[in-house]
Amino acid sequence: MKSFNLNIITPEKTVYEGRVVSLMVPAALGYLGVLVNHAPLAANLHKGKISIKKESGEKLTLNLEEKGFIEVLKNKVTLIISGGI
Amino acid sequence: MALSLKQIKNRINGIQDVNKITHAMEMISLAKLKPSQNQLLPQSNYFLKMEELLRSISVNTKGIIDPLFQKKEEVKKIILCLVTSDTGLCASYNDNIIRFAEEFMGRSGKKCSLVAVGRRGLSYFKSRQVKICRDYTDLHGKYSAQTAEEIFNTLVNAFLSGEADEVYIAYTYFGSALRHKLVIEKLLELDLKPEKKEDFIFEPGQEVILKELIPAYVFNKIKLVLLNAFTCEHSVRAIAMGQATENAKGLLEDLTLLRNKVRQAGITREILEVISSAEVLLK
Repeated sequence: MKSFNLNIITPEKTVYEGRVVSLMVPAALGYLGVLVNHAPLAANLHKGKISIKKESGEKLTLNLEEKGFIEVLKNKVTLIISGGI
Repeated sequence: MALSLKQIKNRINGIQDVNKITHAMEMISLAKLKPSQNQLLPQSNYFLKMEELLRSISVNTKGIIDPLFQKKEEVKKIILCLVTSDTGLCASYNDNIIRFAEEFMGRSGKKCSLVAVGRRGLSYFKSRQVKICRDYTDLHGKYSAQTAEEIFNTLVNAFLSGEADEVYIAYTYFGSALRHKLVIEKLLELDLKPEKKEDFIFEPGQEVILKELIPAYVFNKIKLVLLNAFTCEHSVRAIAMGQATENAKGLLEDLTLLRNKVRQAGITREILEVISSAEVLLK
């Protein structure tokens, strides 16, 4: 399955780093899904749940309790989050 | 050799005490250095990513210019935020950055006021009639989000209200335990070259994102600066105290040798006296 790079970083640590198949994040206007080859995108993130589907098919859910930003660029997705997850 | 045995013993005791103290301080600084360093690394990572994002989305702002990006036409007054330590015993850490900042103020030729973080910088410039806007002391090399917030508000408000036309920040950059660099950077106005990568889709909109991202960027810059300076402070202090402990050890060795020599000389003299008086009695 096609996958892309995901990086979730906070000021304290790198929360996640690796290749994933799909990603759902709580953007400012509602949940937003990212698959491979997504167009370049920048958005604000709000509180909510981040759902990740890894290459192995394993699913992972993280609770986002702080604000943050998402950047999608050329199959590289970076979540910049201001506090602990 | 003019010292008496008692005096030498006193000095040895004194130096032993000092040795204990400097050794303890070295250990404390090393213990503080580790968490500080652990905080610094992810923070600088985080900040760099944020900078990258800000760079790539601040292109094509179509006339939307955030006030923090706005260059003032004429620069008359500047504010320098100087980060020093609260306490001494850290070799030339404070002297270096203070001298560097003073040079910078002289060079700029503008009216310069100071936001002092740390007691050392504050007391130095206070006695030299430099205007101090605000001071933040008693941090003792420990980062606190609350103080960082206050510094952020002070600097941004000063810039926005026109109290300062430019804001600079002076600190010691932590490269590694032995490589520190004195840095003075312009904090405001933001001087970031946009880098066009792609046409981004913005959600909800470019303006809204920038409005959140820019203050977060400036705040994290300040946090990074503080962490850098504090990490440097601990590492410099650990090294200085380590050296002091070494010096004390050297001094102790010399003094112990001297003590033994003096003691030996005393014994020899007493034996000589006993022998010579015995000879007199035998005659």
